[in-house]
Amino acid sequence: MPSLTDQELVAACLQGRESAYALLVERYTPRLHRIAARICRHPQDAEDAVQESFLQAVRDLRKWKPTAPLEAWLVTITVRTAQKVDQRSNRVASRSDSLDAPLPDGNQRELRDQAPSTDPAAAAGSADLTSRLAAAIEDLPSKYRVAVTMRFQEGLSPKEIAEHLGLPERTVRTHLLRGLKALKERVGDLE
Amino acid sequence: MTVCSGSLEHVELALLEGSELSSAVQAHLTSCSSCAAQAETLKGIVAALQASQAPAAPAGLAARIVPLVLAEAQRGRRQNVFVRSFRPVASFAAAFSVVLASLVAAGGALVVSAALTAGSRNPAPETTAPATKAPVTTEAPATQAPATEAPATEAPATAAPATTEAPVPTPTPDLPRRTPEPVSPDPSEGESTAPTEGTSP
Repeated sequence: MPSLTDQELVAACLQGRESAYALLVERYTPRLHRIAARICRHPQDAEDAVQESFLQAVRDLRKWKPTAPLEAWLVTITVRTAQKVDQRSNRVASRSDSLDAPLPDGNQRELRDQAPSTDPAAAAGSADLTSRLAAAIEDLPSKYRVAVTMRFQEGLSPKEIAEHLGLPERTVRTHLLRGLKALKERVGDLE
Repeated sequence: MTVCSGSLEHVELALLEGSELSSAVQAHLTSCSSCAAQAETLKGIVAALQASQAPAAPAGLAARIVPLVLAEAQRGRRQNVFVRSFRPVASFAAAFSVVLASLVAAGGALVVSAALTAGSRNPAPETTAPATKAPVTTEAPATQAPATEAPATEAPATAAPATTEAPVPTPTPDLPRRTPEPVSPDPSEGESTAPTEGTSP
């Protein structure tokens, strides 16, 4: 069963085989959660987004066409769902607007696993940059934050991001450049 | 200054595309400390972003989602069965309602045209004026003021103006245009209110 191709997996799901649905969820949860965690600013929102994405995918499973990879289709659903979940989350309102304010536990998750440096001074500087950058990313407008994280953290090309978001590639490039510029200003101001 | 800002845009674009800086931009960065510092900041930001790792999915997340997905799939199958079994009925009902609506529309058009032609041929109004047509051809009931077959609500409506015009036998087509004359109590509504005012007293 684990060796099923995407097409076989979807066909088995549509036949009503429960093990196929379980395999679908287990196979793609890590990837979809990573995407959702990049977009959502709270860990619980990321989990909610993954769950909602799978439910949406099951509802629309007949619409998937084997011409596109199943993972890309699921990522598209997840990106859009995670944006909605993050936007409607009232937890966002409670976060601090100040870069200097202490951040809640979940807010620095995106950069906290950065590779450690051997030089203590460099490590301290790097950790400082990491925390400032995490705060700066949190403060970016949603469209810039999504573009920047998809490009530089998930390694997607501007064209792929455009496809996932349903936006023109040119718009995505604009969001990337503006997001990068905003990050530079916010991080640079504190140096 | 424009050279500096242009250089930084080149740096941003190169970071965006993951491409190398041109030799001209690199030469500028070696000679301009301000641009070099900003370029380093940008590179540092991108490097930090790329080095970051998203948190792993919590243990048990997939296990929590699977039952929900199965329930959703079952619900979808039940809806599909329902839709498939009732689709012929629904399509027949839709087609029937379209036919019915067109028939009603055609019938209404026929009745209205008949009423209009009857109104233009004033000498023979007879009983062709049903309740719905009374406001359109008010002159028809006027000639039938005592008629008992007319609906009870409309007999007085046309009877009131008929008292003013009854002695004049011939020019019946002008009757409706004169109906506003006896109307006095309601100034806001013009000639269109004549039938309703006739009913109130």
